[in-house]
Amino acid sequence: MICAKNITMEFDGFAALKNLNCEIPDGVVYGLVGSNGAGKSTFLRLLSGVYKPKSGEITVDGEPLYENPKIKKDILYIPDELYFLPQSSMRVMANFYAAAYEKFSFERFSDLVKTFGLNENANINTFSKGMKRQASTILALSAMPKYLFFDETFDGLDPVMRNLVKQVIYNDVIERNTTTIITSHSLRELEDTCDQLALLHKGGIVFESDIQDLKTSLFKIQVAFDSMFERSFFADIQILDYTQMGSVATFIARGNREETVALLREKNPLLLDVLPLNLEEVFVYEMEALGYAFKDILM
Amino acid sequence: MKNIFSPKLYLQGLRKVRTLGIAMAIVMIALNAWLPLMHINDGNMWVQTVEAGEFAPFGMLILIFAPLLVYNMFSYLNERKSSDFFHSLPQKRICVYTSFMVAIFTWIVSVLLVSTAVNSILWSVAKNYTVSVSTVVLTTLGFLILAFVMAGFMALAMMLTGTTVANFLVFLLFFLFIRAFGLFFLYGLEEIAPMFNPMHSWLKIFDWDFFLPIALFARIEDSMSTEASFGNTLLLLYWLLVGAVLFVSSGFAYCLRKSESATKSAPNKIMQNIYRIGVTFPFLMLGAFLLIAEKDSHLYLLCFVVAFLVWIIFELLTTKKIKNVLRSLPLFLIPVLLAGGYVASLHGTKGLIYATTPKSDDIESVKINLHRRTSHFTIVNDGIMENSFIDAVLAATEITDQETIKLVLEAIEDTKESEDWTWEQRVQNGYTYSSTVTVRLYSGRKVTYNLRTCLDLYTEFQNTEDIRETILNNAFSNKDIKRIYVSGFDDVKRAELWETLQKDFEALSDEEKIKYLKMIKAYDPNLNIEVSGIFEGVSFTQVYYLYPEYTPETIRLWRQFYENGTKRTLEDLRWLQDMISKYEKEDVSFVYMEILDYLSAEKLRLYTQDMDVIRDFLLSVSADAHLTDYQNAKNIYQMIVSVEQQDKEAQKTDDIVRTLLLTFSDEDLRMYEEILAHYAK
Repeated sequence: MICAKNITMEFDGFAALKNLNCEIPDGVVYGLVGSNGAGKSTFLRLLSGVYKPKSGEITVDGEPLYENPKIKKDILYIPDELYFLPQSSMRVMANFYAAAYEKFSFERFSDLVKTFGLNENANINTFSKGMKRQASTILALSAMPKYLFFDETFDGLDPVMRNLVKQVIYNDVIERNTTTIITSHSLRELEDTCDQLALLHKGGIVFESDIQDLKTSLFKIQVAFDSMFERSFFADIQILDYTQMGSVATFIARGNREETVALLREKNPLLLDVLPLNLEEVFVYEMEALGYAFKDILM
Repeated sequence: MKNIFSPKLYLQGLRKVRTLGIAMAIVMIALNAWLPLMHINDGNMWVQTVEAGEFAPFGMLILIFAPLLVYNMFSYLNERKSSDFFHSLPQKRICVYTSFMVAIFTWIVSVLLVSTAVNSILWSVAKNYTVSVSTVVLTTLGFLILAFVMAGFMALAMMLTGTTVANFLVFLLFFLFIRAFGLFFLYGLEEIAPMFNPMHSWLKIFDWDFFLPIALFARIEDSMSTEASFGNTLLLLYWLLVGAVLFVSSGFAYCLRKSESATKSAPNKIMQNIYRIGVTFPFLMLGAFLLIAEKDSHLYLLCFVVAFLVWIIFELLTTKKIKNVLRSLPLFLIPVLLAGGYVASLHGTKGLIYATTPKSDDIESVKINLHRRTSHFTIVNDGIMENSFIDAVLAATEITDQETIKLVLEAIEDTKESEDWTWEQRVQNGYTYSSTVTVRLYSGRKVTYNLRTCLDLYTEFQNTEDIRETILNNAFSNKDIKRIYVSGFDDVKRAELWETLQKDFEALSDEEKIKYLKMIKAYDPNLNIEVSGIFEGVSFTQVYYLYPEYTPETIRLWRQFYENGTKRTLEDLRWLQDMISKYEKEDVSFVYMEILDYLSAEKLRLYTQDMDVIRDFLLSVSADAHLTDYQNAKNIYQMIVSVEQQDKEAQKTDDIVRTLLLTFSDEDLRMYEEILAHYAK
């Protein structure tokens, strides 16, 4: 388990992270979403032991992370900007990873290289941006880490390759109970990937939730009655956003879907529709409920 | 151990810099092989011991390659993504650092050992060259230590900066400029306090002589003698210590380094200011120094301008922003004030030195050393600087005589006043060969001062009772003598002549002895015996000339030896005529000939390798030379002839060197003087 307590990180007086707290259980795919400069990459670098926090403490499996090889050997970080040794091939990089990560598996490396159809002996400099990202993913997964951190990792991948990378990551999570953190500035990117989602804004996590709960906890209701009514008519339902046009009301409700529908049916509506919300819509309403304007955070 | 060094990372480190390592190996092995190959068929007439200057001189290139290897290895620290990558590795930072540094040293050691081995083997194969084990060990060790130091300077610079330009500028700052601070302080102090002598205190560590990485390059022209370059064990230990401090400091800096320092010239604004001031300050210091030393010159203004330009260029190169340059300008006042502080500190130190100059009551003894300070940048054995026996006695004997101590104090006061001397005055007063006096105080402290006005004092010193007694008791003591040389005679005859000279000396009265010892200071193209030795740790070379009134027995023996030598010379002459007759017929070739005045062996009259000149001259000489009557000979020439004769049957070549003694009639002499003069042209 990863545990960050009151993490603050500053660069030249600018606080990139402020009193950040979070707990990430084992075996989950944790999505970290936020606009540019929100602190996503900084957080991942802290979790990889690249940075030392100015204050606060990060522990992994109960042990401090910074300068702790025992913990770091189980962590692999794939940054937004990839690095390979100059003029190296994937084979050369594999040798380097094997020198650094004791659990590196050449067998897995060969399997993944075949799966992705890359040439392990070709100079990585000749690879396209997408191929480089695949290469870094292959190398990271071959190191058999317990914790995998991807920073904007799906950038530059075509849809087919994106699905392949996601599939490989899922397999790793399922087979080895790997804990994965994926950052992105796009909610849609993470919607179908993560188990948990956190929204990072101005150096702090402003919202964190299980993605399934998130998707099911809010729903949109469209309802019509044959007589006039006001919002107070739905006082027994927790409403986040409410609009009414004549006898038709549309609102976002929080709570148990079945119970809410049953309550509304008791009021004999002329029309009752429950509409699904996509993750972005859920976020909009949740953020508004917290007092944030969503467009300020992710737009 | 696992936390400090990783063998796997070490191997990756070796691989990481292999391109530069291989290039370094090719360059160094090729150049180190080239030099002996050029001399492989030289056909030297004597076996020459190869000095560090010839032995692997290109080992010095390791001093350039070492920092480049460090740069190549750690350049990832200059880029954010690569810096993050290496900082995220699951090893302690110190482990990454040491593994990579050891990989660098492995390249350095391997390339140096291979290139020096190739060099050493080829020299051994080369005709009549030999490489001593001590030279090989000392030179290789010296180069290794210095490579360690250079790598350390670069490593520290790289750990504290984050761009290529800043890496190299700060490397130069650490390597050169910090030393320049100490150097300017010493030179400035010597300038305003002429009696101040840093060479007898720990301050000498700042002198150029001790700046071995640069001093080596400066010594190339002097063939870089092994002894002068690497013979000082303490100096090597000092640089080893510097290297170790740099190695540890840079390791420490690597552990503390923030990954985000990549792409930044300095980790923070304060350090950027320190670097900029550090780079600029030496130029202002030089200006301040010139202001003190060259009062009539306006060169200090040029230094000020250069410093200002360096300030601007450094900021531009490292931050690439005009805005930063403009912001930094007011801070230029800081190095200017520091330069003022430098001048103030010089005067403060001068005041302290003057205030603590001892009084005659404080002094227990004095010891004078006529040598100027030993410097690798001056030729010590240039004739004038050789210690005579009396010099050695003076340098080794502590004088307690109160009158002499007062004279020393007067000389120190005179030296103080020489601060404003012009260069001409300095030369005139013997400054260029300035002496030192070491004063021992009753407190036990020893202080050494420069003496610019010392010639009279030198004479006075010789006359003191302590010195006279020491000279008379030790002048011909065998225990101090390491070598006796009399031109033309073997060791047995030399020893016999020396023994006779000792007896002649013993027979003299004390006054005569002193008179004799002082007479020999003058040049006298007479018979002489040269002895070298060490008196109380001070080496000396003394030429004792033979005079009928002082050394009659020695002269008699010398002439007797000459008489006996005539027979041998006649045999030599017959051999010579034989060689001439074989010349060009039976594979005999003349290689080299030199003619010296026998009575003053150093006076070379002719040296030639031109075979026709040798043959023509020998033909004339062998026909006309008169080889009798050495007793009354006015002129005796020593002719050394070298011949190469091929033995076809044995399929080998013999090198023969013969020394012939020749004397001529006045008429012949005039003729040969003309011939010699002709060939000498």
